Amino acid sequence: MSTYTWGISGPAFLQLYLLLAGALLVGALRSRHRRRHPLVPAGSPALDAGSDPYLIAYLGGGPNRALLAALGSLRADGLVRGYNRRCTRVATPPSGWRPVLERAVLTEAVVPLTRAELIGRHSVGSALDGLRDDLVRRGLLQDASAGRRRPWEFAMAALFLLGVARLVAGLSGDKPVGFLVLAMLLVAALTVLLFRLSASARTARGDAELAELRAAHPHLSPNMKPDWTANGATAAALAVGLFGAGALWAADPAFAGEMIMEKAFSGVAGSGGSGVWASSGCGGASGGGFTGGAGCGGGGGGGGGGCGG
Amino acid sequence: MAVNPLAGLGLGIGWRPEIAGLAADLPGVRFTEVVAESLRHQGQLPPPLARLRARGVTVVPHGTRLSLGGAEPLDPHRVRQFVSAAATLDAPLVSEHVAFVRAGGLEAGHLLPVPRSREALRVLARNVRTLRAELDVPLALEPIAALFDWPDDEFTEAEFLTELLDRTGAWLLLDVANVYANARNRGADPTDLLDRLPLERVAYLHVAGGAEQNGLYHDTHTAPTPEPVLALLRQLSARFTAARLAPAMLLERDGGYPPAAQLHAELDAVADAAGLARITLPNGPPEGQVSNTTLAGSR
Repeated sequence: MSTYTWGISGPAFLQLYLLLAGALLVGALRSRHRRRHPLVPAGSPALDAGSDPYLIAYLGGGPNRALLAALGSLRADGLVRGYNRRCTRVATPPSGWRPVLERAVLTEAVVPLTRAELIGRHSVGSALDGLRDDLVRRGLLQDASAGRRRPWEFAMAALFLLGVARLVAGLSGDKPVGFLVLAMLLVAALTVLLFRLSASARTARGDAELAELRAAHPHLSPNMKPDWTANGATAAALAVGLFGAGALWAADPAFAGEMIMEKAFSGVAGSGGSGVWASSGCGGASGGGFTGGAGCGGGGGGGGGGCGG
Repeated sequence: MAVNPLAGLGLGIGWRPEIAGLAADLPGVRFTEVVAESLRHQGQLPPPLARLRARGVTVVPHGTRLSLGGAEPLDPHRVRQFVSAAATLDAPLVSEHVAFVRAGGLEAGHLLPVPRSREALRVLARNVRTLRAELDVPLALEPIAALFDWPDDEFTEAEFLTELLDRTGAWLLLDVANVYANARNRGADPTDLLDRLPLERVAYLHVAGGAEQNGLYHDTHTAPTPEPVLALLRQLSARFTAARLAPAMLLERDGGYPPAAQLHAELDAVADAAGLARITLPNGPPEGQVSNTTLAGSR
């Protein structure tokens, strides 16, 4: 009967353990590279800030961001109000073309609905799915069916758990575990790193296009406090899409206060940030920065009134 | 002898972060103005403003807090910030108000009128000289809209301003809306002042809309430019054309921003009244439309 834990010597286990970790790391990185650089149909058009604000918003922060962008745009047009975390349609939109997502929200919001409830509605959900599928087709978003379940990353986590089991067994057999603990720390760090790396749903091209769009629209940054009446509803959608909930807070704090509970998270993904999609859907740009100067004409400013505040 | 650095630059709109996108989208714009105190000291410009500069748009820093009319010496820190704004913007000219904003350690939060007295002139001239000693570019002074006059004024407004410009060599930033507001609130004819001002010293003009409240017209910059101000502008434009002068012109808007289409329409109305090219269209006013003016004593 072997005196080794599980019949494998410590050095042999460590060798195997680290070999497996290395193999999983290589596999995960290769898989990530494939997901980040999908084959894109030739001639895929770049996103257009004027006509694709919700594609841009989805790219910037997923379905929550896209919905928030739509709410911002509809609010800028005076079509919805927020009250008690719920959004309600308050006016009939003028005739004319509207993006599918806006139409879906307007249709559903005849009764007060939270953002989560809106996303749960079939028409809003399918509009959001349509945006995702379009982004995947354009090679800007990773294909959810192509490894987004992150098997390599979970395998690395399983390897860590294997280490835990070996550690427990070793300790109960009074075996030395110092090198094992070191190896486990390495595997734990790799697990965290791989999960973090795989958190972004965008492809490399998606990251690049988003960065370009942000750089091309500095006037929509929350630091500028862009006026949405002057800039228009499409710009409002684009501002939230590119810069997150911070844009909504800057432009229409009353509405943002009614629609978003998690103000504390509104600075999660900075304007140049990693773009990891927070479950709250809050992006937001980093605070501070340029503040508007004191006007020299005096007199109170205008600006839209609060929404349900 | 000096040339008006803003001559022939046509119409611009005051740069405010809230409408930075609209300013950037004006194809014919070649001139704007930014509130000097809104810029970080020796810092980077806000990216949209930096883009306008990169496009060759002239940006004039417009001070609001130096308190040139204050009895106390200028705050060196504020002067440094103002000078730094001019340098960062590579501005050909800077502007401030004929006003004071603080006294005895209290901040008024508003531009307050100075008494039109010899003593006030002396103080103003001293402060302007102090400021100009730090500046590498000319300064334009803007008379303000005031709801009251100090008792025992020793000069008329035109006399006071002319004397101030003579003493300091500064240019005049003439706010047409202020001229209208002051005249209307005093039951006077605004053209009387225009008849008496040295128009050849005007570097650029301000125009804006305001609102009437309790029988007084307030130059709030939050409403469209009213027709009487446009009419005054038409008169002024005729005088400038006759004198072969081409000061620049700036629409100020500080709040109550309308949709872009309305702002464009207002810019077009101002351009038409001033006889300038519309900046909502490409190819703004041609350079040297009218020969540049000169001003002795300016830098």
